[in-house]
Amino acid sequence: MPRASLAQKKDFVTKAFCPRILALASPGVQDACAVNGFDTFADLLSPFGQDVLTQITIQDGQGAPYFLDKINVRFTTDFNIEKSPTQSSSDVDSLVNSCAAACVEHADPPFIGKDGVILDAAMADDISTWAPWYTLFRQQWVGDMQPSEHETFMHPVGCLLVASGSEADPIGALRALQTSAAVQRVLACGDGGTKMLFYYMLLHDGRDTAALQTIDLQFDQVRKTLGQNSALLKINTNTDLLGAADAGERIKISSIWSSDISATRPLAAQPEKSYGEMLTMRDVAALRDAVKLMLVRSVVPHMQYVVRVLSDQTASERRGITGRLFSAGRRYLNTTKAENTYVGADGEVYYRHKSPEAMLRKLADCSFMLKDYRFAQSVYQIARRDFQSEKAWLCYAGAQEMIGVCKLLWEVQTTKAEFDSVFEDAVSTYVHKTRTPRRHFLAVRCTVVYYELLKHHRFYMFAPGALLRGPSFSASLAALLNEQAAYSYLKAVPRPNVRKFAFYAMLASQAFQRAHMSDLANRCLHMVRVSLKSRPQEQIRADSDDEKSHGKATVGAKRPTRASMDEKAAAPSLPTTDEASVDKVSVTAKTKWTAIDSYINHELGRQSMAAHNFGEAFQYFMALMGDEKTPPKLQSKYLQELLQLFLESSDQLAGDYDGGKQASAIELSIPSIDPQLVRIIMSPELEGEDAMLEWRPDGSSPGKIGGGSGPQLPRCCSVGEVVAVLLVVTNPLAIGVTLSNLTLECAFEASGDAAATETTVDSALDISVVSTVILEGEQTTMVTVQIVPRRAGSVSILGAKYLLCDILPTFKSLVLPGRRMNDTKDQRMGVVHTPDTTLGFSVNSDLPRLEVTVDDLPDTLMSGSMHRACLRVANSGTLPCHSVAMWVSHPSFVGIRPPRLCNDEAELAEDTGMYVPLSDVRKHERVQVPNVLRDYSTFVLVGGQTDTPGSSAHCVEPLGSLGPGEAFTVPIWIRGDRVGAHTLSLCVGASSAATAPKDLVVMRSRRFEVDLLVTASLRVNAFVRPSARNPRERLLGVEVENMQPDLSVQLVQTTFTSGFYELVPVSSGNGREPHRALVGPRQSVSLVYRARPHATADRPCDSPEMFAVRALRQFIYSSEKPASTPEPIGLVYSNNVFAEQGIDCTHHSLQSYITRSQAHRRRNVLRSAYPLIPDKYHSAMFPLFESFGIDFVLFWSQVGGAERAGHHSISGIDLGVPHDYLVEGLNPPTEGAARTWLSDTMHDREALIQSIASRSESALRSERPLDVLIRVEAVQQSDCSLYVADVAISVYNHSWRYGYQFTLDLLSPHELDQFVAEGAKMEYSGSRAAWSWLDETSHSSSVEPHGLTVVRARLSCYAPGMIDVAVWRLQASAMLPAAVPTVFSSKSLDCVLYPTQPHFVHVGTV
Amino acid sequence: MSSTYYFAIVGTNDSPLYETELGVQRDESKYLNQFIVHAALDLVDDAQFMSNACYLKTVDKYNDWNVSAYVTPSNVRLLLLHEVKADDAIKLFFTDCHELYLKTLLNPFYEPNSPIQSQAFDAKVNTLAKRHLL
Repeated sequence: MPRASLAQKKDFVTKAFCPRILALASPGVQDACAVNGFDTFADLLSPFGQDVLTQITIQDGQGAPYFLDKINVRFTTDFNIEKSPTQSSSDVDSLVNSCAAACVEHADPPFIGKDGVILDAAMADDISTWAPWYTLFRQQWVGDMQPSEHETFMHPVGCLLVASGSEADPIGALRALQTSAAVQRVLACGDGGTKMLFYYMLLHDGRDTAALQTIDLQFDQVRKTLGQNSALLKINTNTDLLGAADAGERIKISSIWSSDISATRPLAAQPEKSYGEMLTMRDVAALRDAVKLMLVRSVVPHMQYVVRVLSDQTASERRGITGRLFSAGRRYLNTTKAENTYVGADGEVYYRHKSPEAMLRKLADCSFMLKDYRFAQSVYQIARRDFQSEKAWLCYAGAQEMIGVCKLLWEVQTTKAEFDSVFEDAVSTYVHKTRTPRRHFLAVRCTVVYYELLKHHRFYMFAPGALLRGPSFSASLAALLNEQAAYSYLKAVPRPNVRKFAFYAMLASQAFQRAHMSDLANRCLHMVRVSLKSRPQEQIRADSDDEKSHGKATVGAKRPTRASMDEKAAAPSLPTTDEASVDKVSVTAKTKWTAIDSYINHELGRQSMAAHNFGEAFQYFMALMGDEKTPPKLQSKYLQELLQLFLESSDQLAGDYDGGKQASAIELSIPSIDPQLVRIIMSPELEGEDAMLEWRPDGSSPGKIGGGSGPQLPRCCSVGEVVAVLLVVTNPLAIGVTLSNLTLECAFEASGDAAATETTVDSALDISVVSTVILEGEQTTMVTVQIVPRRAGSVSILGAKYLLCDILPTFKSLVLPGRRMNDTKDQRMGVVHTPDTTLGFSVNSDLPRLEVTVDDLPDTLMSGSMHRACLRVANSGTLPCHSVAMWVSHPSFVGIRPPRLCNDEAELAEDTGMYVPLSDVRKHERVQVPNVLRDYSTFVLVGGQTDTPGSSAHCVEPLGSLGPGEAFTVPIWIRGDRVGAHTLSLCVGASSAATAPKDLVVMRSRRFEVDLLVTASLRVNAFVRPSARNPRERLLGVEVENMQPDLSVQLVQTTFTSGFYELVPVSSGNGREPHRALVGPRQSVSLVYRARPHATADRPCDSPEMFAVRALRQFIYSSEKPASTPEPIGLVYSNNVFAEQGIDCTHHSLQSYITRSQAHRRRNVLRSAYPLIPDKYHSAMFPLFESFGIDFVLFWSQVGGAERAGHHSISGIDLGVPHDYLVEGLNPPTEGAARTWLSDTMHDREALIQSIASRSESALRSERPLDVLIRVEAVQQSDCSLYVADVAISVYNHSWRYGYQFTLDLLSPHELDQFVAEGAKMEYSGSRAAWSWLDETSHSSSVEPHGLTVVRARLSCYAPGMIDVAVWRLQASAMLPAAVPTVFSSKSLDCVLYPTQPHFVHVGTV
Repeated sequence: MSSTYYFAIVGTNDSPLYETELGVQRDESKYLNQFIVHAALDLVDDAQFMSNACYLKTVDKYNDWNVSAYVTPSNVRLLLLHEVKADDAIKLFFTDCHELYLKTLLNPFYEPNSPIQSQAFDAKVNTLAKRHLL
């Protein structure tokens, strides 16, 4: 780079280190200056010392010529080396403050955009425009340079002595000036080797017209007397003050000085006066010429002369090897130290003016001022070694500084290591090694100069390091430097370091804050906040690539970059309702660096608070509160500041948000209340869950309306009913907070007639206020707020409001987006949600207000024992209720009595037990009972009709209606039906309909749940044996085992019910046998009964079975579904009473109970046996009771007290007769079969047929349809002493449906071995040789259903006695009714029977 | 040793995936830690092209604090703020942490570039810190 062009750009440095000329003027001159508004003559000349075009070729220190394009010079009026003002930190602070104050505009730099740093602007812009106060500061700082012993920049290179022509003796005046004190002080600092340059100027004041004639003469005299360094200057030619002088010209002239003052002393107060009143443009030109003439003719040649002389005297002999040896020798010998150096008052080592080192420094400085940087640098380097060896640190640091400056001014391609280390050394020496009070000033000057040169060369990467090395004795200074460092990072190549910029801007803001310059601190923080939004260039590029590839996705699928995916994931689409709130918080910092965000938000919040910008401050503080990772100390601090902020701003806020809505202003994130966890509980004083549920007539569990997926009906309550809203309040902070006056904000919309009138929330709802909620750190608690509606309408909960820490009114929105809509195109393209209805309920004036309570629910029961609970329903509203129903989950556990109004307490007390005692229990009784299998889990308590098919109204007598103020109770008997842990649930529903609904639909329901543990008490087992007495009978044994360790049980009664059999106890007597009926702890008792067809069952009682067969056939083959119900069945009750009083089993309460148990069992059995038949067809296809099944109920009571009583039951005891009649239903009907099926239905039916047919085969093996009884009729003794007996063998057919053809083979005992060899199982224990059959041993016959066939045979034995005759084989095959097709039945109904137990007959003597 | 370390894993989008303070806890300087590490990312971006190794040694300094960096091949940055210079130990620590991070990536339920909230990861990092640094 050409030197001249370099010089043009380094204005700041060259102007700072320009030559000084001491300008002294005589009093006459002062007068001429004063009329123009100047204090001194130097002021008059000052503008003309800038950028004086010299354009001369001069010689450098080694005699080489170079071109000096222009030069700067400054005029001073005094020189005092002792003047060394101390720069304290407060001085610096005030200086920076005034710099900042001078720049009125504190707007953001242009590169700060809305969404981050605009990098192009940052790269293109000039750094100095971003912080104009720094430019002022550096100007002022460097302009404040004072003369120092260690450098000669401030030492005048010459003296300009000015006298006025109007004075009497100008020459005398000039001489007087030459000997003035200031000149003497300059001379004292001279090295003596060179002379001082004096330049004499004679000033002609144009006002003094009289002297005009003599001035030239006087000037001649001056020149003659004082030499060629003289000049004549004529000014003040504008004598006509009021005259024609152009106003524009006046301003132009005046601006020459005013602009100079603002450039050189930017902070000086601009006096309100115009300069150069008496000057014309010709005078200005004369002034400029005079200065240029002085420089070209005298100053520059004089400086050249000085350089040459000093170079000759000192430097020449130091250069090269000679100089180094000399220097080294002197160092070791230490000869000249005492002469050349001295210790100044500030403790620094200085060199005397005549010492070689001082002369070297002066030589270098002069060369520098003449822009001979290369020579200057070499001289500085020589001098530096000496300074270092003498430990003259101030001089050393100064030399280092200047070496660096020279390097940057001259060696442009220099590497960092060269100049940066020099500057670093200079600054650290200034700061750490020197002791002069001005060391900070010098260090800062060095830093500033270095930074300016770096900026000039665009070496921005070194700038932050250089700036941060600068002394930080003052906060404001540190702030300025940090700010510049931040900007430098933004200018870094190849790409701006935005993150570094953010960091140093943050440091700058901290420093500004310390220096109480909140404006600039705020500005810096704002820059940080915005710059943190910026994304690195790579990401932006990656994103744009991604967008491009997205456009071409159909051609070449390119995977999105991970970064872009993450961006998408990190910014989930927010519901449309939240957009406003997103906009609102956008002023706060929101990166993922939480601590950074917190810091920035806190600082910005504090500053906004200080600036009384409360709206913004609230946003910042609210953003602060959300971070859970903040340390507790900071959380507490933030919270306190937030509260303080509110207190300070309360007046303003009260004005802004008036009219009861002041709380809605602040939505804080603490504490968090999750709207999803808010629960609305109707009638909260009762335990249980409350909802609108849908009741199905089939008895299934009342469920949510619409099955959970559809729109849910809102909850409904009646007027005046208490509604509790349960809020789950979580404190995310680690510190405790207090919420007071917590209540809900609700919206109310009146319905019906009230809608026309004006209804406010206050008049329609009573909302309770929770006075205090104390939340510890990270605590979650539940808060209940009660709402009592006073009018009909709909209520929706908008949010919760409370006072945080008793100070801050806070509102918490609880509004959720509803279901996402997907119906229309708009909804699919956008995000549209339905209004949420989960946090709302309707107030229905028609709805009766019921209070439902369940008392005395047990938690433990013994199996079989009963416990009386009580359901109480009271109508506390003003309307009568016409429909109340109850549903229980375990119908076999629960028996209820009819509801009774609570009018009569005595009547209530009357109801003492579950069982109805009866002193005269009939042994056998036939009762017609309904035989319909259905779900008996629903009870209609009020308003039910007895003929409603879905209701269980046959077992309770419902009330007609429940009037206002009335109440009824329902005794509920809960029995431990099965051992184990059960959860019983009980649901009571009421409808708002005026009349009772036929099919229970939507009802306001209350659900209760109780955990019940059932422990074992008695174990009852039943077993069946054939009877040896009568083939029509079978023996049914019941074994009762007491499982309890300390409980004796008294059996009260056994009752068997069956459609066909009656059961009588085997034992004789009247059946009242107390000793047999007592079962002690761990004891067991066996009861044996004889089961025989009941006397009244003379005709086959098969209607339930045939019903099932017909229904199954219809189900399988007909297109019409079965819909009929079975006829009632006549059940035979066989009672056996052990105690004094029996129990009336035919009483409807017990009967309904038994019916429910039976239905429960039947449904379970059918469900497992025929899984392919849907549940809904069970009631239409199967009867409740089968004719040939036996149900057994055992009533017992606790011995020693009547508190505990109960019963056990076994349902469906099977006597082993063929009962798998359903297989008949598989045969296709002769007519009425559907001709076409859907293929699915076809497959279903085929699968069903197969399953029933296969089940039939497997069930057959355990059945014994025929029983054989052998009875001796007559005995004869033959001749050969053999006894011959005629026996009658009775074969009885237990089957109700099939007759059998059978072949009875009587096996001789001695043939048994042969028989056994065939593989049949026959264990015969009797004597095989003692007897044998006679005559025909194979008999074929047939037997009708329930018929008896007798076969005659004979046997012989050798001796009388008991013989076991159970040796026979019965092969039977079923005879089907003629009408029954035999596709599925015939092949499987054959059986072979053998005796199962010994059968003894007595063959006695005749 | 009562020195403090601040360790952060920074994802490709410049957001921290994981951060922890190891050693002596200093509540006050939390934001400063983040600032220094965040600012050092600029230098990591430059330094990663100067070396073939994952471990970039000390990339930045602020006062007494050094920032060491480790760049994974997927451009996830592991940064450690420390006072004491111990290159070898830090390198081992970084290598082990990188392995831990890889194992986290193998988890099918972990979305890459999302914050790591696993307590097991936290415990393991602490163990590694005890082994190599503290």
